[in-house]
Amino acid sequence: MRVKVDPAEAVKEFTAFSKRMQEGRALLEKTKDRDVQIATTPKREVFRQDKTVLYRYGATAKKTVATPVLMVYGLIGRYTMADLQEDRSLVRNLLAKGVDLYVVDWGTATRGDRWLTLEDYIDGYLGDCVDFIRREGGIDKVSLLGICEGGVFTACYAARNPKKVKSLTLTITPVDFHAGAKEAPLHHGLIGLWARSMKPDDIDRLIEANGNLPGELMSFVFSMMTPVNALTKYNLGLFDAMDDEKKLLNFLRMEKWLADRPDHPGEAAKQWLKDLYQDNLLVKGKFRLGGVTVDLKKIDMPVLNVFAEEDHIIPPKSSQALKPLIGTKNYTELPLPGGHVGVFVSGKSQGILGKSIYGWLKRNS
Amino acid sequence: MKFEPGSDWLKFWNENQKSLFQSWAEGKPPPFAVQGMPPPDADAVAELMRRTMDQWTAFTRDAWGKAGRMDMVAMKELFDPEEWKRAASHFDMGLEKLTEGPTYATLFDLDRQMLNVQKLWMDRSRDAEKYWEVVQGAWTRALERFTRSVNDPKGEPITSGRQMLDLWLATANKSLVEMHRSEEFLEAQRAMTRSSAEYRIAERDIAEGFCEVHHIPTRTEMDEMQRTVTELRREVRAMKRERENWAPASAGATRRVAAGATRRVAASATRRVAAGVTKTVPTKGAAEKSSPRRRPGPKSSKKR
Repeated sequence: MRVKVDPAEAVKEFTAFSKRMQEGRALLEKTKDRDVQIATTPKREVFRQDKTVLYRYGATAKKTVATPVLMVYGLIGRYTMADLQEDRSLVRNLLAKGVDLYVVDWGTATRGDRWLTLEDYIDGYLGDCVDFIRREGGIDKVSLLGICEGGVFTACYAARNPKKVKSLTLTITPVDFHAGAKEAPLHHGLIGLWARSMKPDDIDRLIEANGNLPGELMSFVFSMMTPVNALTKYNLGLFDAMDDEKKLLNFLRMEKWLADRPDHPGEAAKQWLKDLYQDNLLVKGKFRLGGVTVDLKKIDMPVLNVFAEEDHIIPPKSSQALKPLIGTKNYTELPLPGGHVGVFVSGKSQGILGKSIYGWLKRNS
Repeated sequence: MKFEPGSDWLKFWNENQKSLFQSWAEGKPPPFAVQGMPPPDADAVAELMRRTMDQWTAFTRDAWGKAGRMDMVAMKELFDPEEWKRAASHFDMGLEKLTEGPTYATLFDLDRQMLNVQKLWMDRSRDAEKYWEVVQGAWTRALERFTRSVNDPKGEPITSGRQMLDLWLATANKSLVEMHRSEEFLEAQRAMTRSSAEYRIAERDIAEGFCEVHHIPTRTEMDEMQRTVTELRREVRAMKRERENWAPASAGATRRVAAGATRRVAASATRRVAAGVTKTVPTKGAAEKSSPRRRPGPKSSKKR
């Protein structure tokens, strides 16, 4: 028997536990929803089409990078992750360096959006945002910064419109959707396993029943990757953070972002799950949008590929698969410590991510 | 006896019949006799007539009595189709629906759908049980591992409650992660997801039957409409992009237009400018003057 608990120590531990609970309770009671704000960097709407809104962030420093940067998040989750809080914000870090930054907000999909396809998002909405920035700035090209699924969007757009893209920065972006599945640690790559465990008509029926891919379902699948953390975060996790206001607010901001997971439009979800996760068509050079194959070789602009070494959703090999597929030699990889979301929100990565992207943009935009 | 044509004949026949029945009723001989024939036995005929009438009356009373009631009201109901649907059998209830409302066409389909939904609910419950069985198995394995670990004399001593809790959580996490990657779990989850989807679709079909009866648009109709709208918007966007024909930055005219667009950055105005659409449709000449097509530079939009 390994348990060697001294009764006196147990009483002390219980006393400390009770004290912490009381302090935490007092802190929780005075914390209101208005105290937990995310994505607070000032920005203004400059273009809108259907539910898609293009924002331009207010400059906080003299412009040092000539080409504006358009940040593109995916449809799974929301762009607010890149601006979670003042001291953990890629957005603020880039603005502080003098980057002219835009971001696309895809809005919150409802049943009426079930027929929207990846073509609608990539060629349609994203294309119109790029064209708007080009026209507004009187410029030929825009730099794209894609995050996760948004990285796939920007890569496909750049391949189809190389003359409109100055540089391409991909972060935590899957390219080979099957890569790294076997050799990855046990808790990595579950999304791919889940997607491939379904038959194509299972996905069709799931979408038929719900219209879209429910955000709650994706949240559940994500939670399966860290099951005990998902089960204990509102008791043990909260308990660990509740005696420190800063830690508590960080915890609550993250929860706010996690809870804001919109449904993924149905037809686009079918393409995402079947064409990419199941059939891996992008890396095979067979992924078609609007009847035209996406040829990654046409990506001839400078590319920065940022991935997380401990990414349990997109294994590093999945992102690194891009290198031999593109048509430029100006290709840079930037592995960062941390997990999928941690790269953007962890305190450790804040000094690295923004600075590295800025330095690369300065040289290539 | 002399027969006269016309009304005399009818009057004669009526009088004879009247006399005959009256004499029978009174048990008297008839007041006339056909020439050359012997007079009938009036008493025998009267008796025969009376007995016949008595038997007929008794028979009909008995028969009608057995029928419950048989009067004018009963006769009306017997032949009134309105009454046919009052029977209590399922068939007749269906018939009632058939005659009363637009559910007729889906009457038997609804029964079938209800049965199907019940079956799908059972499938879903079965798959959910199977799923939880797999999940429970992982928790059981976690407990076994934890018990072994706690009792392992070679392990590091556990000196606090928190250490013990952390060990339990780490053990449970490992077991659950293993389970989530197992074929057994993935198949159980797939089956549960599928049967839940099938149940929900079947449930929707029934709800749509209700909607149709009550003049409410169905989910399917809404989906079809939204699909049409999405496709139309897609076409409109493609046409606008073709028409706008964005010019490159090198064109000074573009910069001037862009500056104008920037000033009008309010969302709605921006939207119209960006789309190249003005609120008032210009005349052909005016449209050409203001049309971006006149700007220099190559066509940039790819037809989608």
